[in-house]
Amino acid sequence: MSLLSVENVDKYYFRKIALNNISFEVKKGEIFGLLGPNGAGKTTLIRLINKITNPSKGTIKFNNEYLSDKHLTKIGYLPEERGLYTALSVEEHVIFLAMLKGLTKSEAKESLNYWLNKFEISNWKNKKIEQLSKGMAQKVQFICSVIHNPELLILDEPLSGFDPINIHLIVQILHELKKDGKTIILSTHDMKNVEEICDRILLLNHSKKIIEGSVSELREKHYTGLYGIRFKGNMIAFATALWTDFELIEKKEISKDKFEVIVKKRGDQKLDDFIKAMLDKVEINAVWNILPGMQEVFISLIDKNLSTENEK
Amino acid sequence: MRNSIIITKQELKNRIRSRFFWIMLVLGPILVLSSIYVLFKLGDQGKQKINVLVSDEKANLNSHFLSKDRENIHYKCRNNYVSLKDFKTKSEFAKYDALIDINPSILENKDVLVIYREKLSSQNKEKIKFDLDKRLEQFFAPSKKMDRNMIEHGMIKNFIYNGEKELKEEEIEKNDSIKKQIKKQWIHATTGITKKMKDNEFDWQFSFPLTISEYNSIKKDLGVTFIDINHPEGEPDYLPSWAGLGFSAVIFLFILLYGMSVLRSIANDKSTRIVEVILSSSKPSELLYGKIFGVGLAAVIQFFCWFGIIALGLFILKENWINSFYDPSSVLAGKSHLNELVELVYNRINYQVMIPYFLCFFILGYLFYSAFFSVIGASVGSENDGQQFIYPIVSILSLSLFIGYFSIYNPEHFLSKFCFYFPFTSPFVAMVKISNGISLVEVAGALGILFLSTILMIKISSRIYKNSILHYGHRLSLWQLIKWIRKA
Repeated sequence: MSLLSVENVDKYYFRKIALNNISFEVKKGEIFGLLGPNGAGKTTLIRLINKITNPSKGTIKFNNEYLSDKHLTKIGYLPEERGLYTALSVEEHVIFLAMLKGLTKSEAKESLNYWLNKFEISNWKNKKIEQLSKGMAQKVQFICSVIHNPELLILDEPLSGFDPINIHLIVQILHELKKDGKTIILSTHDMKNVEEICDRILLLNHSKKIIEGSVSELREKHYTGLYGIRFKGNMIAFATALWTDFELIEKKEISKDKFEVIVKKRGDQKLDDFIKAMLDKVEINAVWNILPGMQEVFISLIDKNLSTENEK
Repeated sequence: MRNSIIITKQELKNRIRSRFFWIMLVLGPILVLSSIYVLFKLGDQGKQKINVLVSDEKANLNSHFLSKDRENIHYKCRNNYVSLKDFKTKSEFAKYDALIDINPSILENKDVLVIYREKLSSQNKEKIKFDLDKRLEQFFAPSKKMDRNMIEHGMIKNFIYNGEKELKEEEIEKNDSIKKQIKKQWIHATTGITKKMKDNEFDWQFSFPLTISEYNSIKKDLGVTFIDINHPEGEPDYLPSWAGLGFSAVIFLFILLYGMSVLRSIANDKSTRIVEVILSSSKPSELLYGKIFGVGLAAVIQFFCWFGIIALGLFILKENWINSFYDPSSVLAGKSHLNELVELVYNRINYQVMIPYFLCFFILGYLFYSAFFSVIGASVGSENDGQQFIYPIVSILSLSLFIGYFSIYNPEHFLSKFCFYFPFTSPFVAMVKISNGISLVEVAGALGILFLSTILMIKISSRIYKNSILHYGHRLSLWQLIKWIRKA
């Protein structure tokens, strides 16, 4: 069941088009990646979902209702460029933003305590924002976006600036939120995060939708015929067995006579053909398909889109 | 609406917490009070040493009056009438700075005319008044019993004449009824309250003749009119208009300071990008109104604090220093510094009228101009970029204040009349006009126009704000502003 439905949305800034006929759905409880190069229209789309601006054409539905101001209390937003009121304390800042999201002061305080405990930063409550380090400030900003327990959480580059430990912590929290039935829209340029976190993605380029689908489907769809194999035996014998059907891409010697190799098929061969060719030449420990990373998928799709546009 | 209130409260809290607010709260009244004190202390303008010619045709006063010169006033008496024309033109009078015209009926009408060539200082005016008053006191309340001289020079003479009968002093002394009537007429002459008295209500509380204190308790104040020899018809009184301009200056100061606060606050939200977070919860108009009202409330609170501190300061000044102005001995001793400013601050400003009107024009004026400041704040990339765009607004504000000054001396000029209603200038010109007295209908008209203009401006600025607040990396231009206004 979809939580958010965007239908044929256009957005013009004066005569410039920022979004061109965009349609997609975000299902309840999923983590949805919003991808695209700089200037593709991601921020515009996020602003439309937050009702910061309105679409020039098309509709946006939230829980099957036309998106209106009343839904804003159910949406949490962490923008890419985040500001804080540096003169306020952590508590004052978070409570102010929470109250704008419809919470009472006591509800906001209660929720703040929960999140401060979760991040193990309860002692920061009365600290002035200006005293916080960048990472600390980012945690406060993250808390501001979840303080009102939103149904839909929109995060624009939520992990940028965090150290690996905190990235792990935030990713963990995102999974927990998902488990609790929250829906998350994640806009990021970090494709590793997309692979790790997102269920489905929408790719935008030049204001248009390029593709929408699940991460695994997209990776499979863009499979380039790479196999990985771990074996024990002679490397020359292995290379000879590849013959003209497979091409050796990468090899790594794990220990004496033990290798891990990446090969690419040249024709219509399948994994079975590859295994058959190797069976009597080396001792196979493991064989697997190597799916492209989202980085490759992303570049491939953008390049494809660019060449299509150039052709036109 | 709820979000506007939350933002208003937060903005108010931010302002009140800021160091600027407290510095202004303390420094502002101190500066105002210090300026007032210095101006009080310096005294007022006007010639300090003067020669005064007293024209006492009937020699009513000169036998007792003015035998002794003051340090800075030299009196010269003449027992003939000197007309204003003669005083102005004849060379023999050229050495005199002022002429006191003691009219023959001074004892009845208590009116004295003082004609001056060059503006007299308030202190000298007070001294002349005091000298005249003192002479009347000597006349009406001698320490010895009533004598023939008094009967001849006072109202008692009229009584005798009206009764077509001449009475001797001894006869008066013997006859209580006559004595009573003499006393009644005497009081009439000195106080002008005979009409209220009937014979059966007459209270013989005073001994006969009056003592100085009895006289002072019932005396009718001497009416001394000062006339400029070049403007015998009467010089316009600009003093209240200056008070009005003072209120305009306060409005100017607060609009500038707090308008800049609105600009800074909006520009800061934009440059730190926190505006994006707030706009994901509130409408742009809610945020704008919250900013303007929050800062405005801080301004109103600060004004009331200023008002309270300044009022307290003036009260302390009055109790400890100014009150001596009204003590004749201080005037004689030259200890007091009575001047026009003291007169203006303590006696001439009608605070009950000025303060409510001031608040109306101040609040509406602030809201009107803050709409412009907010447009600049929302349209520029950063707070620093905004500085260059405030000059046009500051110029308009300064020009408006100047037109307020212009309208002091040219109240009937078309520009003064137009600017009284023109929303950009009305808060400044109106205070000057109101201080001189103006009909309620006219003030309501100016306030109405300002109110409607303010609503219109806030609507326009809200539209520009909505379209410009999320635009980054552009240069502000008029064409851009027009595009933002047109874009719904």
